Amino acid sequence: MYVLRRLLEAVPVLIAVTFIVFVSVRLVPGDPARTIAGPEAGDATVEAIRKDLGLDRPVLAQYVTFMARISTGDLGNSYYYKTPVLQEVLRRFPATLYLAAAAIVISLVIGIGIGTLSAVMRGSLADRGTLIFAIAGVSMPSFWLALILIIVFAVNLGWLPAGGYGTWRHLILPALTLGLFGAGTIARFTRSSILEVLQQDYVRTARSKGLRFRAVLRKHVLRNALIPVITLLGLQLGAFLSRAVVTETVFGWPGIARVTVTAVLDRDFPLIQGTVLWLALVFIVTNLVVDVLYSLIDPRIRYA
Amino acid sequence: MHSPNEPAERLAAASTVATEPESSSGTRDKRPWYRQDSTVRTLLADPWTILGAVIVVGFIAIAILAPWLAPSDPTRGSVALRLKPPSTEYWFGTDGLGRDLLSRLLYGARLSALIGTLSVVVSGGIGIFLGAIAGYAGGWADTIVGRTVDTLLAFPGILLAILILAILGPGINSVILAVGIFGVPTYARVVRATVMSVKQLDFVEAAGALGARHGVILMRHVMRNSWAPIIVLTSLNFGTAVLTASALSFLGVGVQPPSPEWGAIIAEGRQYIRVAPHITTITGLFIFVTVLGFNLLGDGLRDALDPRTQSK
Amino acid sequence: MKRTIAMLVALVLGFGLAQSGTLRVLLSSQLSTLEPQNTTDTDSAAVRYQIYNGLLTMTASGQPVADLAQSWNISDDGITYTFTLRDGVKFHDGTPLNAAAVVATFNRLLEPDRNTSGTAYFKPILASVEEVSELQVRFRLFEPFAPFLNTLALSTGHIMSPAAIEQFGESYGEHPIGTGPYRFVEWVRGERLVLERFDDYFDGPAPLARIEYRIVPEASTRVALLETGEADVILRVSPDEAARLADNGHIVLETTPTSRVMFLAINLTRAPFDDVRVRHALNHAVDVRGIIDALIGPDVAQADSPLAPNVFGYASIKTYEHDEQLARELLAEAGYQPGDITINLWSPNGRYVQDATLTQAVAQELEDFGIHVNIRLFGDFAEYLVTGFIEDRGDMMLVGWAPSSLEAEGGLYQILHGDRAGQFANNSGYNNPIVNRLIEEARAETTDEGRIAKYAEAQEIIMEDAPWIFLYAQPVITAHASNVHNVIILPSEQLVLRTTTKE
Repeated sequence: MYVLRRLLEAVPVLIAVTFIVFVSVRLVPGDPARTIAGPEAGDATVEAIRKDLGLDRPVLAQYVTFMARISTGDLGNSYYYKTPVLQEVLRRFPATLYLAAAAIVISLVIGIGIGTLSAVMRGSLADRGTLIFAIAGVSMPSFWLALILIIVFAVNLGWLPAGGYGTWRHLILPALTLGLFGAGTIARFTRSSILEVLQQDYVRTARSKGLRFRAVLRKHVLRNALIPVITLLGLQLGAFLSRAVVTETVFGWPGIARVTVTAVLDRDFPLIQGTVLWLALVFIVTNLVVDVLYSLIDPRIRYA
Repeated sequence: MHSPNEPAERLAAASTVATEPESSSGTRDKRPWYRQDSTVRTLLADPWTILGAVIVVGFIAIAILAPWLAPSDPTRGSVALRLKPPSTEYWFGTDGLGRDLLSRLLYGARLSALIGTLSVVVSGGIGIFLGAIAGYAGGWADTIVGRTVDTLLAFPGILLAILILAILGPGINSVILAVGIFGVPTYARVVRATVMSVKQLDFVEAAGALGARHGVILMRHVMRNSWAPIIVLTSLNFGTAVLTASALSFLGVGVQPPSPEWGAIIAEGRQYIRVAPHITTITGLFIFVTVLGFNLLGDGLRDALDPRTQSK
Repeated sequence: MKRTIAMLVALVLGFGLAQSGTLRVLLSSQLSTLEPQNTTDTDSAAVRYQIYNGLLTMTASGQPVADLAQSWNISDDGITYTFTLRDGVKFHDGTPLNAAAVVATFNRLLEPDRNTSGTAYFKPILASVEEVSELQVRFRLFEPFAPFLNTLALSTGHIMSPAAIEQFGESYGEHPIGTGPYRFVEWVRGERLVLERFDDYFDGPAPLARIEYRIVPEASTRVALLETGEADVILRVSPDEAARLADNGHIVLETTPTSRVMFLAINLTRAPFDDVRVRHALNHAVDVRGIIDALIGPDVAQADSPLAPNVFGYASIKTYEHDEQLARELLAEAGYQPGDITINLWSPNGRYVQDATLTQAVAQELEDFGIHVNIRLFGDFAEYLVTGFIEDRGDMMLVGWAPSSLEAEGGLYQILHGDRAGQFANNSGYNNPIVNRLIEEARAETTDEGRIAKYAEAQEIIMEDAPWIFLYAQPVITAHASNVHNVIILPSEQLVLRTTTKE
């Protein structure tokens, strides 16, 4: 039931998103017909292109056509690439997904690791360190971190490639750039979550029974403490994608996040629309999945 | 969207502010006020929060005093002196056009301060307003606002900002608006939660019965009870605003060169990253430290103002 | 077991060999299309020059020489050119190169609806193309046009396969078929493009097995990739990076003077810029020599003509020396103080090497002189063209013009002839009837000396009229790995990899 409710709630949000995207793209200054035709083309050519693209029709009519097309998966053709937008989006999406997966893994590994350690060594310097690590991670400009990583690891040390796509080595620096930010927040979250769980009765019981701390940690604490961490991932998605735009741009990673900026700079309306829509869709779906997972794993959990 | 353990919401739910501790033995507490108040004590006890405060104050200071502190005109330089590394004459070296980097960074602080302040005003203004309406009105207003907030959340921040900037064209005004708009949801949520918890209370109903205007009651009690999370959010959002604005300038859609906005300086300095890395490195450091300061302060404030997270 | 090992060894060896036979070139921006007639952008030319041949081609010193045409004959009236084609040349799709192919190519180019920067080179001069025999083609011009051979050597004149034209029409660019030493394999837009050796190339198979192009928009990343050995060739390196790479033993830098002149076009339709004394003052107010020294180096000459030195017809006229005193006097004569003048200075950002830096450096000079300057930088070159040439015009606009034909005709007509005043690319609106006449007459001149004389006169007048702030002719710097040889850059900035080898 909960799933259904959430699904239904997501629909109007999606529609609102398509509307906003459609409207805002139309508001972008610049004449796409002229952009496609080029500065040397005659006015007749520009007009012809405009008719061809359907830009001379009233906005509402365009919106209706737009919505109709979307429901069949037709997102139009990119002005710049001349290929179907959906094709361009789907072509690049896996690269971003790949990067995102790697970054999430890094975030989780480093974050949970450090978070657990600091929870266990509570009050010590390491504990303080986590806090600073977390805050520093969120405060650092991602483009700066990326550039510094490139200078140090690619240029000076020569260990890793400076950009591009292809082998697992190309993945390391961008994934690190993207993952380190999340790592800090996850660390803090894990720490406080573990601390809370440690207070719980069943844990105290387990410990009083004489079980070794590590076993207790593994069997009871971690499993329950990590649940909120999952939701945290969902929350971080927005910031994550923002960072992905910059990361992909600096490293020349051929993902979809980078395209959002280039599409805007190119005034490529259909591509802007398609990319933003797709990302919004992914975002909504992911949040949905996370929420559902959360409620499934522990139906007892109430929302604060 | 439900968000368990969201600190701001927890804070709003437990919206009592720390008050002067009662002395159980009946004798007067002779300590000065700032040692008595547990909020302030918590604040002062944490060296990181103090560091954050120092950074923030420092940032504001250089933003205000830039014209007096800067050794040179940030917009003029001599091409013959371009790309010089830091030296005694030019503490942070020069950029691609021979302009003194230190002066540019100082004036850049002004821009960041401006962007941060105004965008927080935009976020806060719209957000508080929307949140108050939603919480108080309930019903369909709440749903609409809730949906709006959800929709805004559906856009990863930077996409929204880029879209807005595409429409408005690059430049500082557009950046302020773009960054401001995506700070709205956090404020709206907090205020909404506060209002909802407050409007049940008896004194509100009583005041309403006595004929006091709803709007006045609302704002007075909203502010009284949620000023704490709002302050925390403001500090945090200021940092985010500076960070996001610089990212947008870096991508080329924000503040444009030759403006000394920090992100724009990095955008320009990017091409010299091998030849003159000091430009991007030092500027990035400035952004980092500034944002760090606001985040440390915000976090410290949050811990100090929320009785439940005060360390024992 | 033995067979498996043998196969594995062969695989590894083959892979290794193939690896060493693959040249990796980095490009900075999107390729628009791979067909020759719809575009002239340099990045796609870096690919097209390996796929196609023209009737003629350019040498590294800027001379047009035979390519697909074996010999030719020019009629006495200068209007008819008859070419004899090489025999036995094949397109990548197996069809033969013959007169019919040439005719098909040029008829397509001359189609009335096809109006691009490429066709603009041919349409005003070429009347018709006809097949004379299997291997003979006749071109008829409207009027004698001395630079015609140079024009045929341009990439727009590359010969296309009629069978492919038939089959693909306007999407020829996505399935390019030429006669060149490399054939098209695949193109993943925005990422990479792959070419493979064409074994039946008429001049013998090329040394490399494959060429892989990758799009890397970030200049410093391209340099880094070259340094780490992940790329073999990078183009248009900035002088700052070049200075740093000079000490690297694994990298070779090639500096090629090109026909590209950088200048700031002054909008002549607006006061006070319509007064020639003001324009002279502007030229004297800026320390161009100082800017060149700081940005590029002392080896590059300050412009003394609207043409670059390696362009046919170039004449050295004069440079405007940095003299602020003189500038002030000239302004005063015209009735102005420096502070009275405001200039809206527009420039692309990222289109030409160091373009934004150059513009801002000039702006700084003008500001130091007392003139108020508002800079507007355009990150998107298409937007710059549309806004700057069509919708509105700044007071001064940065332009870098490179006649690929290496001919004064290409270097003067489109940017300084009255016919083009106010249009792309004569956005200063320059229209001097004497200069117009000289350019037109030079076309019809039958002797080189005659043409040179006319062009020299025209250049004198242009320098005196000063419709621009004259800057410099920009050299292009290419960097490649030291184990790569024979990377040829034409003075038109085009990349030719026909004889390139890699150890």
